Amino acid sequence: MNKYGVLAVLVFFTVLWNSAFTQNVTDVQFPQADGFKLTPGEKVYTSDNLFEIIDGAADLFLTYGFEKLYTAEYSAPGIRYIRIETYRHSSPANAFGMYAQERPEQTRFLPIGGQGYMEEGVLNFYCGRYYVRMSTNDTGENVRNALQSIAQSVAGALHQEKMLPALFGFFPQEGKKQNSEMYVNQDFLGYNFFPAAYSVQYVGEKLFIIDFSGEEAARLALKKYFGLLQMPAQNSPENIPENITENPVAVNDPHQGSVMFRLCGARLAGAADIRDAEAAKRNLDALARAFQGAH
Amino acid sequence: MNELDRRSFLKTSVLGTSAALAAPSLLARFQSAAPEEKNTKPVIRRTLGKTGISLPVVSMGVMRADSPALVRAALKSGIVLFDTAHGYQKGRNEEMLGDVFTGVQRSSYVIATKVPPEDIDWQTNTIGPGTTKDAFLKRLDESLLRLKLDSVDILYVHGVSAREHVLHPALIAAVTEAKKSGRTKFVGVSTHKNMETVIDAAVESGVYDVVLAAINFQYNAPENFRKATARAAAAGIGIVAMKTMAGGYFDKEKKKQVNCKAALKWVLQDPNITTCIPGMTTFDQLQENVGVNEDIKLTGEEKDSLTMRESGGGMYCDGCSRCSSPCAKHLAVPEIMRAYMYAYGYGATLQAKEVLAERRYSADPCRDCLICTAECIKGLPIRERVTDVSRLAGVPDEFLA
Repeated sequence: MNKYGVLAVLVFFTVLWNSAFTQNVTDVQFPQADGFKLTPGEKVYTSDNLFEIIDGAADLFLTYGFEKLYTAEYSAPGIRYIRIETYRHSSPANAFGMYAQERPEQTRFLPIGGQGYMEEGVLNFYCGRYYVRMSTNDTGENVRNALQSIAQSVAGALHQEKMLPALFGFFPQEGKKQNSEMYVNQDFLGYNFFPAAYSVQYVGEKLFIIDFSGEEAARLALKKYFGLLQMPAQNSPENIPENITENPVAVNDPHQGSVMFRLCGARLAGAADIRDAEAAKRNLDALARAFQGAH
Repeated sequence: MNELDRRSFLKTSVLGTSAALAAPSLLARFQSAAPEEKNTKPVIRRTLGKTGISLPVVSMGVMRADSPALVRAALKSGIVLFDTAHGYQKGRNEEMLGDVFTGVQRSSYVIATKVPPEDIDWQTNTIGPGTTKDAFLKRLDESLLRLKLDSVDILYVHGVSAREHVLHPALIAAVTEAKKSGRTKFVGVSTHKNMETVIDAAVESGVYDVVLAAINFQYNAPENFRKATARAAAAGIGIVAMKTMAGGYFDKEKKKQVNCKAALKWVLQDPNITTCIPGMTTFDQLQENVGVNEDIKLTGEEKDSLTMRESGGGMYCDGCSRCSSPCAKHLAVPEIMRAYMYAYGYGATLQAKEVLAERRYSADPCRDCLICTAECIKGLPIRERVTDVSRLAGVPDEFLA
């Protein structure tokens, strides 16, 4: 290869390197918005420095598999700012979980991404692996419209699935409190042997699904739990009630009160915060039937 | 954790829709057993500076809004101070605490919340004109509403990292008014960065009563921090420690867990730190942390666990003395590796030098070896580390910590 050939190869690889680097840096491309000047944040935050921007709130983001935060600011004459923070998480479930931790119980929900809502000066939504928070110090109608418009553009540009985690589809509709879905990715009910759990509020209880890697793992967790609760001999940790796959089994947890469980293969369905035991049992059965119907 | 301990902590009972699980006799036995399980060791308490508030050395950082049962359990187990913030889960954290503490005797718990300045550019770390007394107090009032309280015990200005933040006139005016109007009993600042500067500014202000600072065994200048807490203590400012677990894991894969008790005890070796606010998500963690309230003595084993496990036993020598191939000059490799750990793990260079001095090692004992014969079964770079740490032998004591 002559010297020009070597130079050409060098240039080729330099361009390739630069484009790969640029792609990495601009993982999120903030869309332009009519009438606004877009200023992307200079810094991409990671788990090492997230606290610099959100301080103590960073801890919870980290438990939800936070990976990177991209920021930008939209400004226009007469409006001080619209700020956007786009948090990338390790999975859609984790992004949803973090979003749901911050979502008010009652708010104005919006069909943006998988789910979104708007309050005074705030528009937050979840979209695939991203949790997007937008805020403004201007509450005029124009700005509210701009917030929604930018949010829709961002949701589109993220190219993610725009739906809630699929397991929520199994929960029964009757008695369900709308938009009450939650995802906790560790230590559900305060126990480290109960991993990721999906929950939904109902009129008489909170229904949940704990997702295990297999039935054996689910049974092992139950054994640990029953062991802690000191179940009577006939239901000792070594002897999980046979009927737990057919009927809900209820225990009295000293911290959580009455909790019901039903084993559905690799998933442990259950009910906590029970105010109406009959309704809880009925909903738990419906949840189990939904699983059975899916297989 | 000991299984029996966990069981007694749960003090549980059983019931059921399934008749097989109803066990009244067992329930009665557990209930009658409960009063006998009293603690005999006294709880270690410290006073939070000039506030006069006496607190157990372990408190609770309330991390999640979905675990009211954990907060209730913490209250029952003797935790007094609960730390939250205006911004945690967009206020849901404060709302949850408000629900939990409804009906609970007000004098039985201490609530601290943190309110951030309204207008702060996190990228340039500058406070803008939007930070006003009124804006700050409006946020505080929202927090009080969520907490269902007329007054919090400690109000922090959240996340400051510069002298200018601590002494910002609008923030000083806001916290002074908050205190004067009875919305809070005491005021403080919370900080993750430039902590010594922030602590000194708090002293300088003459306004703040408490500083909440991020300190743990991985902090790279613990001595500087200790000196700052001593200055704060002399001025009557109480110090509360956060981020004491250094993230809870040594690795990003979350496989190498920090010894939480050891991490808490490490922080509490500084007598000027009144209490820690570890975040907790399980009843196990709660019980383990509460145990520290009775014993803060840091054992050698616990101390080692904070360094040697940093890389799963890979970063520091654990003194196994099974070097697969010995040193041709018969150097006591594990001893020198211990000196290395003191120097690089704890930042205790003087202690490291003392270890070297005991063996009368020179500044570079490897210098006349062409090839190092010593090999570590874990692959630690012995020659590199011996060369590195032995340089301390030539450094005068006055320059070492």
